[in-house]
Amino acid sequence: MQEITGTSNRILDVDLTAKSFSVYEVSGEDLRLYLGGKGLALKLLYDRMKPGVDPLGEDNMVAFHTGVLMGTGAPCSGRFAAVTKSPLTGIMTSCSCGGPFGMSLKTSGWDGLLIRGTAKSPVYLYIDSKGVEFRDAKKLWGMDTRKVQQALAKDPGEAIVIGPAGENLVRYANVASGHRFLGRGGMGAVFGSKKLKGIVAKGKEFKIVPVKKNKFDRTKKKATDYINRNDVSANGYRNFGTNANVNLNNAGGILPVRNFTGGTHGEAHKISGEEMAEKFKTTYSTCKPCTILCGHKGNIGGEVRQIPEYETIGLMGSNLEIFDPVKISDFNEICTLMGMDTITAGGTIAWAMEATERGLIKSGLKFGSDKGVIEILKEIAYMKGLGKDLARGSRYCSKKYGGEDFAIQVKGLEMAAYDPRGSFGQGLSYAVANRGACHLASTSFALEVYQDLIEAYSYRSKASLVKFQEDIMSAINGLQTCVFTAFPYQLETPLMKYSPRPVLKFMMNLMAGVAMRFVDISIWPELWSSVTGRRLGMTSFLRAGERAQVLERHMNCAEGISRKDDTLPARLLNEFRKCDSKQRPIPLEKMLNRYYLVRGFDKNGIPRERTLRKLKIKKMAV
Amino acid sequence: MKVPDYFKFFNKTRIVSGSKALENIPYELQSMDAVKPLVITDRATVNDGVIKTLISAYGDSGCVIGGVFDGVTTYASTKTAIDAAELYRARGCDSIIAAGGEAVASVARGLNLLVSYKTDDLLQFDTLPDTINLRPFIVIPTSDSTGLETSSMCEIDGRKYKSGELMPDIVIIDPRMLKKREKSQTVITALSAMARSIEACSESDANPLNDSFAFAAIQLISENISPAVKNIRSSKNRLALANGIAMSGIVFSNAPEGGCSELAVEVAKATGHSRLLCSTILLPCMLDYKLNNMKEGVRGELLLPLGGIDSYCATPESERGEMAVQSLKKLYAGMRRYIPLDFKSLIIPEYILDNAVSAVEAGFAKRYGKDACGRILESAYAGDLSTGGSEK
Repeated sequence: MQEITGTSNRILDVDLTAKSFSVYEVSGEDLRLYLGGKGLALKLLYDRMKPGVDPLGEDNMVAFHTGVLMGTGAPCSGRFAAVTKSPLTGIMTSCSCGGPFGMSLKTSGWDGLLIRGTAKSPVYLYIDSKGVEFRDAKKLWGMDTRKVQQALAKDPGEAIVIGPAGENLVRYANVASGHRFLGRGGMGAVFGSKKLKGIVAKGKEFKIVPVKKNKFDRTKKKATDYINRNDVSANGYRNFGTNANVNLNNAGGILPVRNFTGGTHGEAHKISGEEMAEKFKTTYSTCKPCTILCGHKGNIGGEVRQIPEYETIGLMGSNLEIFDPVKISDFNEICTLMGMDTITAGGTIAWAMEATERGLIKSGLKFGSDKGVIEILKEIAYMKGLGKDLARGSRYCSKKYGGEDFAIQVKGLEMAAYDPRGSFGQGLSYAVANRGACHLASTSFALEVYQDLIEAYSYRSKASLVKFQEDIMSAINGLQTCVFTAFPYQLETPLMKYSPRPVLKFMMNLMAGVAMRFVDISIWPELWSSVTGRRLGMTSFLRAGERAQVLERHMNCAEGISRKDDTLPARLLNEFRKCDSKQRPIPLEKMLNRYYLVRGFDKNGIPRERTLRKLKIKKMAV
Repeated sequence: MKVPDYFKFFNKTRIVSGSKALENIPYELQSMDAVKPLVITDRATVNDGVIKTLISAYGDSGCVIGGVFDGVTTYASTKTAIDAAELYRARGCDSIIAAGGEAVASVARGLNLLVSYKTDDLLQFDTLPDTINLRPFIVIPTSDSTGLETSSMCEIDGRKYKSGELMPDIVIIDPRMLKKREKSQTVITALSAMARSIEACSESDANPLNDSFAFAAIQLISENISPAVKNIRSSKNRLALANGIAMSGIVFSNAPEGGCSELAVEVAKATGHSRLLCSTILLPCMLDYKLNNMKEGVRGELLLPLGGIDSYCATPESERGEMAVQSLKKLYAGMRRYIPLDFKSLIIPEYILDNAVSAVEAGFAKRYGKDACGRILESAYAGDLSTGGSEK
């Protein structure tokens, strides 16, 4: 097997219309500024795509980047990034996906992929070290994600594929890689609009070797130790999966219940990771390589199935007032096979249940009942009946039928399963997150509710906290590693681990901007620099994350995003959870003003010219 | 003055305007056999302190306010109306006062339907007859009012309810209720109210009664918008502006929806910007299009409220339409520092505007000619019409 030392820097640029490809080499400058992964994928699109492109039109592009860590064996590095313009929101969406495709692409000699144009008839791509073959996919068109992955398994390599939802342009269709997904924003629909059923990468043609192997090995060992010591990664997630969050969220009053009307429920324990681990006799089923091992499978209803992740349990479980994990697993299965985002599907169905209750639409859907849910999921996937409207998300439906106040979405993306009325920093995060109401842009709830390090019901420090977390997450997605490494890599460092808790709380609540400077985030840049052989300190690492974050915002502003869109659903601003007797409203405007200040945006939320200049982002000609 | 062969005009609303106008409420309610109103409002209005002013205006009148429901948000929902109805019944109220903006007035109307018909189902009121018996209903405009509070139409959960009987019995315009707002907000609400009035008297079936209200509204707004914005202490100008805005709602109720309003609704849906801002930006482009491309052009009488009596008399009849449009543009130019005057500065991708076009194109083509919609949006995008130089 040949070796690639460091990273190949080669991007395969595929034109579906012309059925041709070319090779683009990433410059050293871009690699240094954006690191790889999501940041570099954004840059690729920024350099090539004009604003105003129709997300389901020929001019939309999809950029993939594996990041420099892929293939090196660094802990939790089996993830790749993809970026496109979302048909659900009309702005940029970026996804991070585990599953085997990233490794295969990387070990075929490619760091990334750019897909442009539209095929005349259904195709799939077969990629190896020589380039791309355009193969006929007419016989695969119509297959669910599992069947098509099985069909493609006859060729050596690993695939990403879409299901019927993507083919039918469901606005939140996803792309499957094994049992993981490029989940949010409708990437599957973009594939479908391009008549692209899937992509197979042969893999195993190259071995990836870090430039500074000794440094890499030392850092890898330190990273692994941190992961194995940290309570979240080594205990919570490793033993119970992401559903370890259920009991924590229920106790903290941030579990979504009945379309975000409540934050707790007496039956929440039934869908907790702890109870499901016992009930379904779960074993590991994870991305590779993974040291945290958060993915699990188990014996559900007589068959071995992937345990639904927390977001599915939240949005298709407690948020619909359904506490039967077998039923939720059934919903998860349909979404998996059809290729649909469970968060948006759950959020939209919750809207539909409440709209039915209020007489705004007619459907058989009811909170607390699984009756009709599987049928409606299929209707959505095939764009039939009411499903045709629900396939466009809750923002579209609420504008058409009424009920905008209880469509729980921001910028068109349905909210993840953490109620921000119990975690004000998370509220700010949802409001300003680039792709919409995303919980992965900044996981403030972890510090506010789980760790109790930051006062959840205060606006103080939240702007600095959210900015810092956004920049870190963005930088991590540039490497790329799993964002769950944020727990061990930050919390196990000596400063965080051994500092007296009252001191930490004081600093983080009252001097957050200063406190963030002392957080040791060195593991990530050390991993990156040991692989590439280039220098990267903590400051430059964070700056690269900030750059990607602001670049994405700049691209969104060119699509019309401004302060009016940095908001929260009316329910979350005006109504209170039953568990909150003090009825504390989210002070969004205060936090937003401060956030724009620390971000270097003007009062409308537009990045200032000097901010773009500081980050070396060339201003887009609008 | 042209009088159509057949027309209808309806207005049941009395306006009481001026210093201490609030103190008239107990008397007005008593004359409608009501003594215990429920006040519908929102938290912003409560936080402004104006509800306290309203309550204290009752003084020793012997009347009592049954309750204050402040749960209205910027989105009028059926649930809010039902919650308000619950409070209304629990407190034994017999009349309704809406103090606030559009959503407040809409919820108040929804409440009125529910309590008057003793039901909890608003959806049964798909179509409303012209004569319905509702509880006494008073509207008190605040700085958030857009004019539609005084109209015959309300929107709840995206559904429109329209009937002359939904118009308020009385509108109380008191300067104490008109608190300071962002200048841009004041300008947008005023100009969108003006847009509504100009559209109403520009339609081919305009009638002299509606015209008189429309011209009064246009004149009040055009004369007072600039001083009201520049000097927020000037209660005289703010009061006059509020009167003009309130009148625009009556005008709106007696005219079909104009092209500018229709297009503004679709652009607002497509872009997420407010309908009021969109109609403000579209109006001059709409008029410019009519002036240059339609046989009937722009109505010359508009120059009187827009340009003043001197300009009207000095301009030959054949040129009055054009001068009216120029006067409007000059007014807009003076407001440039407070609001965006084109869609481009809002950074709206053109393909999103295309979606708005396809929603209204068929109707537009019938009324205004082929490609009208696209051309109007194009000029609203570029903003190449709203020049007019700097204000003298």
